[in-house]
Amino acid sequence: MDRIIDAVRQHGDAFDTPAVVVLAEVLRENIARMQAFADGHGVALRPHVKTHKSVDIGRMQLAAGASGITVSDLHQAEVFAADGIDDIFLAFPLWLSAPKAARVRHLLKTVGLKIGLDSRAAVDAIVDRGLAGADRLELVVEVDCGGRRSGVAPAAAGDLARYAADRGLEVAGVFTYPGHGWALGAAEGAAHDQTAALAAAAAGLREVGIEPRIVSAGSTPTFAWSVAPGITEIRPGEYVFFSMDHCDHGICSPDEIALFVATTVVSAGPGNPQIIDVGTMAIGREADDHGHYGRIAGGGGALTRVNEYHGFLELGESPPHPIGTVLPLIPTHSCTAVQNASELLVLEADGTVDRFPVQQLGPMLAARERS
Amino acid sequence: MQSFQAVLAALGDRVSTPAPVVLIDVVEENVRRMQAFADAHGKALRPHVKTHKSVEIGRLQLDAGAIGLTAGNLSEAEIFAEAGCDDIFLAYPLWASGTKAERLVRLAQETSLSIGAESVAAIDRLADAMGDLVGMLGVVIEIDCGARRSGVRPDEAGALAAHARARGLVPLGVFTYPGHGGSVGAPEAAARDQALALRTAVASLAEHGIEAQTVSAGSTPTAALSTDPVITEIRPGEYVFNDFDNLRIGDCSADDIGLFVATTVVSDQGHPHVVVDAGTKALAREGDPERGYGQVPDYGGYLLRLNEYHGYLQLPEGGARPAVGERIVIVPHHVCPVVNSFEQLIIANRAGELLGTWTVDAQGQLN
Repeated sequence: MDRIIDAVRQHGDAFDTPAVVVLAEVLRENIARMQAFADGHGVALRPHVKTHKSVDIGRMQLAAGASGITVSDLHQAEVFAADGIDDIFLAFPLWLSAPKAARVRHLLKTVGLKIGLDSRAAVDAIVDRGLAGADRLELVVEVDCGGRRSGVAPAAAGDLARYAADRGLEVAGVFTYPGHGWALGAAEGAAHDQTAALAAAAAGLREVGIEPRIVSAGSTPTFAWSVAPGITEIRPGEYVFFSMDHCDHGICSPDEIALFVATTVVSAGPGNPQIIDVGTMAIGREADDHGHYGRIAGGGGALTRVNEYHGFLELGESPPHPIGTVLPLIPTHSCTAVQNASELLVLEADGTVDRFPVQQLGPMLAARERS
Repeated sequence: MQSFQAVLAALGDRVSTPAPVVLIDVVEENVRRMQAFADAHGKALRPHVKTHKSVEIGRLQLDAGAIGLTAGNLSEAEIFAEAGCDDIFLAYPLWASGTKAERLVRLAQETSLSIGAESVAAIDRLADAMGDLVGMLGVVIEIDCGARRSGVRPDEAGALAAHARARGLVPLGVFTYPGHGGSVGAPEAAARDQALALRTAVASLAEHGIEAQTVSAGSTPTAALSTDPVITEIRPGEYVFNDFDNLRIGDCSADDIGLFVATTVVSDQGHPHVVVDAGTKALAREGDPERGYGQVPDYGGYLLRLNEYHGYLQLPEGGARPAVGERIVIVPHHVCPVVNSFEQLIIANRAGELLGTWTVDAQGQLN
C-alpha cells in the first residue's frame, strides 16, 4: 500500500473529500496480470464490470485481451454496448418483462448477447416475448455449485438446456458463481466444487446433444483455481481494484490494492474514535469479520461505525490525526464505494488526474426507455 | 403499507425492476403534517435533504412552509441553491479541503448559507476561505447531546461562537443531533438530553454576549418531542418517506410509509428462500442478520441475505411462495441509502396511477 500512502501524502490536499481515487498504475498492473494469468492457462477472460461500472476501464480490459464483458443488469449492458462493446454476457437469471424484451431486441442489433437462465418459466417468458430464434441471442444455463443462490442443480442443467433448445432458443453453455468461496480459507474448496459442478453440467448438456461452447467460472477470490480442464472462461470483477478483504484473505498483496477513498478528519473531538467524512452514503455498510468497514492504509485506524455522512475511526495503536488531515481509507469491499460515487478520480504517478464517470442503476420506466 | 402490492400491480410492466416507487400523495401528507406540527409549536422547519436528494421534493417542502433546507455535504447545498433555495444550512463540521474554499465563496453569494462548526481550526479555515466575504457566512456551533459523534460540550459553545465572531463570521446559534434516539424506546430520553444541551449552549453563548437566533434540533425519531421552548427549529429528514425503522421506533404509522422498492422474483430453486433482483446495489445493507435487510409484508417474509444484485427472500414455513417472474414489494429498513442508490424515483400514488419520474439530483455527489 506504499503507493497509496505516497499518493495521499503528495496529492491529498488536492481532493475534495470524500473522493474515490484509483491509482492508474496499479489498475493497469492488475488488468495485465489477470489477463496474463488467463492467457497462460488457456482460458478466456470475461471481466465482470459491476466492480467499476466504467466504460473507460472496460475499454482497458478489452485492449488487454479480454474476450468480452460480464454484466449484472440490462442497463450495464446498454451502457457498455453504447460504447462499442459487442460481446456481453448478462450473468443473471434475467426475467424478461415486455419492456425488457424490447430493450434486449434493441441491444441485439449491435451486440452478441448471452443471458443467464435457471428456470423453464424464464424460457417461456423469452419465447412469449417473441425472442425465440433471435439473431445473436444465446442462453447460458446457471448451475449452483454450493452458493445456494440461483442456478439449477448440475444434474438438471441438461434438462433445462434441452427444454430451451426445443423451444427454439440457442444454448451456449453453462456458468456458475462460487459465492461460498468468500469466507476465509473457503476459496480453494469452493473452486473445487465449481469445477465438479461445471463438469457435471457440461456432461449433462452433451447427453442431450448440446455441445457447451461456454463453460464459465467466477470470481476474484477463486480465480487461481478456476482453470481446470473443461472450463473455457473466467469472470472475475474485483481484481481491477481489490479491497481490504481480498488482502486479508490472501487473495491479493497490499501493493495490488488500487482503490481508496480519500477522507478528511472533520471533528476535533477528544481522542478515540475520531470522526471522518466517510459514512454509508460513500461506502455503504460492508463489514469484515471484525466489524470493520475499512481501514486506513499504513495503520492509521479502522472504521468501526458508520452514520450517513460520519465515520467513527477507531485509532488502535495509531496516534490521533490532527483535524483536517486527509487519509487513505481502504474499503472492506470496493464495489459499494464505486457504486455510490458519480466518478472515479484516476491518479497517475505524476499527479495528473483523469475523471472516469461511474454508471448508476439506469432508467426504470418503460416510457423513458430507448426504443 | 397494505396498498403497495395493489399499486405495484396497477403499475405493471411499465416499471422495470428494481426501482424505488414513491407514493406522492403519502409524501405530500407527510410534508403537510410535519409542517403543521412545526407551525403549531412555533418552530421553524428546516428539512434535511439527505433522505430524498431531489430538487422536486425540496420544492414541495419549501412550498409547504419550510424556512429553508438542511444539507449533509457541500454538493447537496450547491445543487439545492442552484435550484433556487435561498436559505441553506450545511449541518456538518465542514473542513475546506481541495477546492471547497472556492466553492464555499461561490455558494455564499448564491444563497443565504450557514455551516456547522465545532473547532477553532475549522472556523479559522472557513474564515480564511471566505476572505473579504467572511461576513456572508453564518456559523452554527455544533454541540454533542449524547451521540458522541461530532460537536463540542454544550458549555464550550460560547467560546467557539465568540471565536467565529472575532474572525468576522456570523455566529447564528447552536445545533445538535440526538443520534442516540434512533432506536426503539430511545427517542424520549434523547430528546430530553437534546433540550438540556441546547439550553446550556444558549446560556454559554449569552455569556459571551451572543444571542442565539438559531437553536436547531434533529431528527425524525425525536421531532415530535423537540418542543422545548428553547428550540427555534427542527431538521427532520426521513419523515418525507418514512421506512420500516421509523415504524418500529413508532414515529410513523404504516400508512405514512411513502416509498417501496419494486423487485421481481428471478429464481426459485426450492431453497427456503427465493431470489429477487434487488441486492446491496439497490438496497444498501441496512438491518441486521436477525431481522434481515428489507421487509416483504405481502408474504410475511424478509430479505435474509443480500449479494450485490441478488436478494434472498426468506419465506415463512408453510406460507405462500411467489412464482418466478412475480413482482414483489420490499419495504426498506432505512430509506436514505436506498434513494442514494438510484438516479430516478418512480412517482405514483395510492391509486396506482403512474405520474412520471423525478431525478435524485444529488445522487453520487459525495463531497
